[in-house]
Amino acid sequence: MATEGSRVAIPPIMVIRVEDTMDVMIARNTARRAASLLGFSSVSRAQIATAVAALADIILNVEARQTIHLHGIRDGVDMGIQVSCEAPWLASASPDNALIALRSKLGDIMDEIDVEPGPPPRIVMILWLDAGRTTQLDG
Amino acid sequence: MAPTVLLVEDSKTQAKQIKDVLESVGLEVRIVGDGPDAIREALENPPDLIVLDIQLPSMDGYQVCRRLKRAEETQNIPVIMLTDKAGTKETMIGLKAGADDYIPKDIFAAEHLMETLKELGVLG
Repeated sequence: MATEGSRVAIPPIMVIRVEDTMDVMIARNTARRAASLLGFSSVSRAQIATAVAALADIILNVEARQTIHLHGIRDGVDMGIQVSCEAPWLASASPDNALIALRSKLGDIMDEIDVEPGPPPRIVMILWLDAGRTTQLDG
Repeated sequence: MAPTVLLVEDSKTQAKQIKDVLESVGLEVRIVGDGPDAIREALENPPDLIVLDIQLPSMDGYQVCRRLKRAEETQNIPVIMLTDKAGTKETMIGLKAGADDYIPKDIFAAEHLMETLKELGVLG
């Protein structure tokens, strides 16, 4: 398993190649699947799926072809879902400006949105699985 | 008795398609075509679930959802927004209005709807 500081990547690990508009729908669906496997509620699944679809839209809008990576993440007792992709089109932008543009597009739909410096820069988003965001299945 | 669904959808074609999906898993479906009718129907005959479009005549789905979640008689009825408006802002407006899920009308919509119905306990 990959680690990032005290954060550890956990299953499910999924990847989505984004090359055309159909892939936006597939990305949205894959994100819902991953979130469901991690125990996110329907409301949180909708948030994650929308954030991933927005990221796929960004990739298409800059005429790039990129792979979105989805995986669970654990930090001590906290668990969540991480979404990331390389963003070479941000190489010429300052990280601050890139982050402002991303947050403007994605709003507060995810808990964390960051641009890690490259090369190439990488967009990383996390939604944590807190008590209000878990599935409560009957039986 | 089959769980009942109030489907709020102004497009007759889409209403028929969604109704067929819901009925195929044994749900009883009532259809209304606008917001005020949805609120009146939900108050008079509370369903087990509301499936709500966003773009409706006279009152949009967000307004309908807020009204339903404010009223004591309807605030605990799950609301699933099923919509063409799938952007980040629209999703957050829908969820903040109190929707229990926000599902775009794409090729995976029926699958996602079924998954959420199970989670909400509407399907056994």
